[in-house]
Amino acid sequence: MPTNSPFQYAVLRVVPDLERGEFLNAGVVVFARTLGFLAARVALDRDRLTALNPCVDAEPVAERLATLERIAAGDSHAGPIARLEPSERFNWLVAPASTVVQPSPVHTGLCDDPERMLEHLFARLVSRPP
Amino acid sequence: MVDERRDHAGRSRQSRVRADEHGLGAGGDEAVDQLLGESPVYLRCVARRPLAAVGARVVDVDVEPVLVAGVADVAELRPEVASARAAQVAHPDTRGGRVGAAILAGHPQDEPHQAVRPPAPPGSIGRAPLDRVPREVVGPLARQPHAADEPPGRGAAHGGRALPFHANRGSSLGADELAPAAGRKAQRAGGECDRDGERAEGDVSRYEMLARASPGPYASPMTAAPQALVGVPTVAATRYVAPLREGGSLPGLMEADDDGLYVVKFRGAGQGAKALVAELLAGELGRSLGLGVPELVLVELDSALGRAEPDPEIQDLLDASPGLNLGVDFLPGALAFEAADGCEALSRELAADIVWFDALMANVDRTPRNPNLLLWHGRVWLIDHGAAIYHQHAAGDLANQARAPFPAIRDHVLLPHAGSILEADERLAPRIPATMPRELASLIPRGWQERPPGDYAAWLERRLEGPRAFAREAEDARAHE
Repeated sequence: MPTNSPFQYAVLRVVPDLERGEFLNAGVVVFARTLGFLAARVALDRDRLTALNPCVDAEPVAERLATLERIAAGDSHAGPIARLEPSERFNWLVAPASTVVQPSPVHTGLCDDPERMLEHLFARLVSRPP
Repeated sequence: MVDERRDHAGRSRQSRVRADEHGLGAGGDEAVDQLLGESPVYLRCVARRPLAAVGARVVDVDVEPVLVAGVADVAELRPEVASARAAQVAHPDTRGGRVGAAILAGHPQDEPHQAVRPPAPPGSIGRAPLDRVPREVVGPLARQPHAADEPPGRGAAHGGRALPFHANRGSSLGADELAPAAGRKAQRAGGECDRDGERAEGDVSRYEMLARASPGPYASPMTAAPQALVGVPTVAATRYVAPLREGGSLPGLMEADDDGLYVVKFRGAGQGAKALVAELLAGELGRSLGLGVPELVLVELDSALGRAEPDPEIQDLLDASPGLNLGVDFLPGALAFEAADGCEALSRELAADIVWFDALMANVDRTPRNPNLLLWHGRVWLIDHGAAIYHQHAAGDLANQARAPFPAIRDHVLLPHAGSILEADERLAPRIPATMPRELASLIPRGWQERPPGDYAAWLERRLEGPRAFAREAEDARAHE
């Protein structure tokens, strides 16, 4: 019988215009400390982004999201942050931000398979609703 | 990293509060059994800092009250003030340029922080009523010491808009190439996009003028041409838009009466006016060197603005910050700089210039975790200089600490990517005129002067004296990378 382990997660949001505050979910980060798991999955729906703000240049935003995914994965070529410990990387990833890519507040849950939880949250929170 | 409202007693005095995640502290999945509301120091807001009790006492020094009744203030030289007072005049288009307060006019014998100034240019008071004489004066023009000395009509020639004062800053651009800074506002209002070629000519923001002057990604291989130091305009805050929760001091995005959006650093925040002084001096110096620093303004905050703000944390800050605060022009759509990606596009010379600048200003806040660099319109922008001049937080004479070592430079985010700091020293130091420290210090508003402005001028002058040990120190740190 699998044992449930606590995890924390946050959604990565794209806020093309801070003044308006409208945002688009574009990724999710899952951190299960006791299982040694930290990963992010990102996807930028350019149509929906353009619908929010036709002026935004999606390319740098997509690059930024991809960088965050690499930092979560601990890619050693992804800069000094990616070489930190997982808990520090998670803290950095979910630290409040006011730039175009911002994390949501962090919440918690229990799971036995964080990888599957990541897919589950990605489907629920990021993928376009069917 | 959840918002704990540490200074809000009602919400924080409960156990089992989720702790602020910290590498050395509790893990995120571990509950914390301590009262987080008992913090000994309130960082957010001066007004909520607990004060040590002071016993009441009366010291009688035997001076008859009548003897001091007519005594003036402490005998000290005050700035010369012109006898004529400024008048408020209607401006035909209040959305045009800004009229600022600080005018630089230095004489070596003046108090360094007290500039002799002509009468302040008249301030705009909104659109002229239709039944009055609407356009008796020229509108606020580009940043000239005295707007009335300017040839009239330039504003009208540009569709009724005054030129942005930055028009003066792009030294390589002629006046004909300059256009009102309407583009950003139009974009913000949901108007046209500003992709290349899509916008009408003459609708170009000052930042794009800068980018055009030095095209290319991140952008120029070198720092842009130095720009003359000009005054800092004053605007009035009209609306609180959103809090920015990155740092500890909770700056706010605010709209001002020129329709601009500014990241406002509040005087009543934890670090107080000193952080604003650091922000002002470093920002203006950085821009004068040609580095990408968003425009700074002084933001007048009416105490009535925060009265109905429901967020207690924000309201406390607004309440504690009436008068002048610092505004940093908001760069809409800016992305955070990430060393992994950004450095590839940033020239080694520009990286070295930024390291040199931060070493000069003793800025501890440009680390990989918190680079305080933005990518915007293909260029690197430097923000958040409130931690510069960190010597000012120590007790004692500021100038005496000007030659102290600055080991924190080894944590600079751009150090691994920078070229020679000594070459940057040769490039940049000659760009700072000898008068610059005093001119910078003269910009400090009176209400921020926890230290005399002359202290800052003396500190910077001593720091700039050659040979500059901080440059050698940064170069040594780079060699150890």
